[in-house]
Amino acid sequence: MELFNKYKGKLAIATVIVIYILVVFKILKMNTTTFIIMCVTYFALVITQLILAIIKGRKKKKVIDPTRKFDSTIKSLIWIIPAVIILILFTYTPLFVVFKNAFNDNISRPADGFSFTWRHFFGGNRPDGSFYQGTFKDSEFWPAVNNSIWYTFVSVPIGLIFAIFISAAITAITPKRVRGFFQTLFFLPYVTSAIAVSMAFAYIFGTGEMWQASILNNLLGTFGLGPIDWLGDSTWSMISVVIFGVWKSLPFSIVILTASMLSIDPDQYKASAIDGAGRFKTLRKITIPLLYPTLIYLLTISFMSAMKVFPLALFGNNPTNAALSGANTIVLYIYAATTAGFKARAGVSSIVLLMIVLVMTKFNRYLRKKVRY
Amino acid sequence: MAKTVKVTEMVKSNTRADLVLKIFKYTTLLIGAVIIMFPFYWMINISFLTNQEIISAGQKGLPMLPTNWQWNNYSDAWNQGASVSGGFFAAFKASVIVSFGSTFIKLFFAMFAAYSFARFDFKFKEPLFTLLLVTMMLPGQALLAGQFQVLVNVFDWQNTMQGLIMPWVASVFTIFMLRNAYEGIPKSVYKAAEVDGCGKIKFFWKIATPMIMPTVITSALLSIIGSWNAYLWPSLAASLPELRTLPVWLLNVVYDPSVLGSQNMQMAGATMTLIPMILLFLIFKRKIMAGVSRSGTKG
Repeated sequence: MELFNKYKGKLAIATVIVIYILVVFKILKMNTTTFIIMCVTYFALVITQLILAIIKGRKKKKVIDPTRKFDSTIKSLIWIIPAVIILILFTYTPLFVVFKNAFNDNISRPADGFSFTWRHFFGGNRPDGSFYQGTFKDSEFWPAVNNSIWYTFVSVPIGLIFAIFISAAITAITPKRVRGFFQTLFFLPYVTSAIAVSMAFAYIFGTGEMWQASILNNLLGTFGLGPIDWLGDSTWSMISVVIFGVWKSLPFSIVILTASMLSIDPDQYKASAIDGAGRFKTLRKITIPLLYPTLIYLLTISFMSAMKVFPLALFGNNPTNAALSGANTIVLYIYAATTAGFKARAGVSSIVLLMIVLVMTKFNRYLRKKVRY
Repeated sequence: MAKTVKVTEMVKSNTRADLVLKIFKYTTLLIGAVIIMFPFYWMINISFLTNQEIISAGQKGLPMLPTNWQWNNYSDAWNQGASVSGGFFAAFKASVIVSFGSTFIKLFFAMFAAYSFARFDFKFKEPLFTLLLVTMMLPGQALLAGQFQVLVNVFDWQNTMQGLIMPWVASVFTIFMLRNAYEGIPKSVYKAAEVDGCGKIKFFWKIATPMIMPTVITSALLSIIGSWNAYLWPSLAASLPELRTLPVWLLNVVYDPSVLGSQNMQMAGATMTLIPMILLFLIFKRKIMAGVSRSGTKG
């Protein structure tokens, strides 16, 4: 009995894992090879986490409190398990399925069997001799990736600069009512459906045969600038996507920047005024350094959400149309591959998206640690 | 003496530089406001034009204001797809069920998990929590293909309501937000309740959860907005006309850029789909904006 009490917690976790494995076995109709690969994936995940935790622990020299009393593991886990099961089903398993699709050669025989291959990445001959064009050799893939990255690096800085100006102006308003009014107004794009608004944007840019007389081109025409085929011309189509993306992402940045600007202690401004600092110097030496953490956080979030740009409605609900106008993005590529049933292609492009986002996040983490005041 | 210094300072600061700054401030706001509002204005403008005005716009462009307000564009849009599924109202109903249903289930599970993470101190708590937090870094779109396959092969839930709802339920972000809120409850409250003989579950349900109700409502609102406006997952998971949510209905039924004369009807449909969320936003303005800014500053 004492032995049981000692290993109760471990037993509980082992039971949960066994139940999960059985469920997955049952529902995914897996064979042994797939199963082993899956176990290795999970173990790798857990082990990396453990190693990271150990490294961190060594650095911090965590002092373990000897009087620390643990609650019952089983009783605590019971509260968590329902949420974890849903997460496993709809987050961890899909992640695994994506990886499996990208590396599995047995696509034609569904759910059964697994044999490792790089063919879906680089192309090559199938076992039956037919040629498979790898995703990396697909003529639409690299333009899509390039467009997404280009979009991220163009739209995020532009959006942030706009957001800084607007939120500085909002913060400077003293009547609370007026400030609240502007805050509400600038927040509207956040709650509105991207699909509905991008339909309106499509008509602002001009679609189909009507593009020459669109409102934007008419407006440019009054300044003597020629009509531009915003959505059809491949030099301009990504710029249209950037315009829409900046419009849509402004409210998030503005709300966060306004909140952190308003939370700056007014005493610091007073102190700098007493010391004789001018307006510009105050902005440079006090406001911006105090905003650094927020700005870097915003940069992380904006980078991540900009990579997911998905301009479907701008191009008439047709991914092919977007690709023809030179505005294919990686999420559009995944969407098109998934709807067409190209599992391997969707898997490979999902992995590429995953890698790009992870690298960006890591880089931003590094930045955040560097710039800490 | 101090007062006079202050007055002279104020007089000094009210110089030309201040006026320039004020002008600059309001011009920035004005330009920004025009840019933000323009798509809405244009959407509403087109939605009231006549078919004739749109067809004849080939050379001149559309008029800036409707001369003859066409309210029947809205009734036309309302009935789009009505013969198959029931038009706008059916899509609205599906959207309400999906967004509110998923939010309720999500919050229910997330509250339990968050409370356990915040209140109990058990073995493997930290590694388990990091394992959950890692998923917040994954972009949902990269999992899309996998989720779709799980939905079809594992559950056989394609074209069902639960297939639309369940993937939204898995949300670490909500657990994270609620855990922070539960951790904010002072320990003395817990001890006082313990002295009074209050059990764990009773404490959770009767004391802790009411105390963090503002956070619960905020995360519910953010989740409703997110799932209401989503297009990718609903369009993949359900192709049946009865299960179209509003964005899917709008883009797959109403929108057809090749039909020139029906722009007004399409924009009327788009305007109608925007109204519910804008109303929700105007009602819960403070909560939503505070929730968004808090999720940012704590992150």
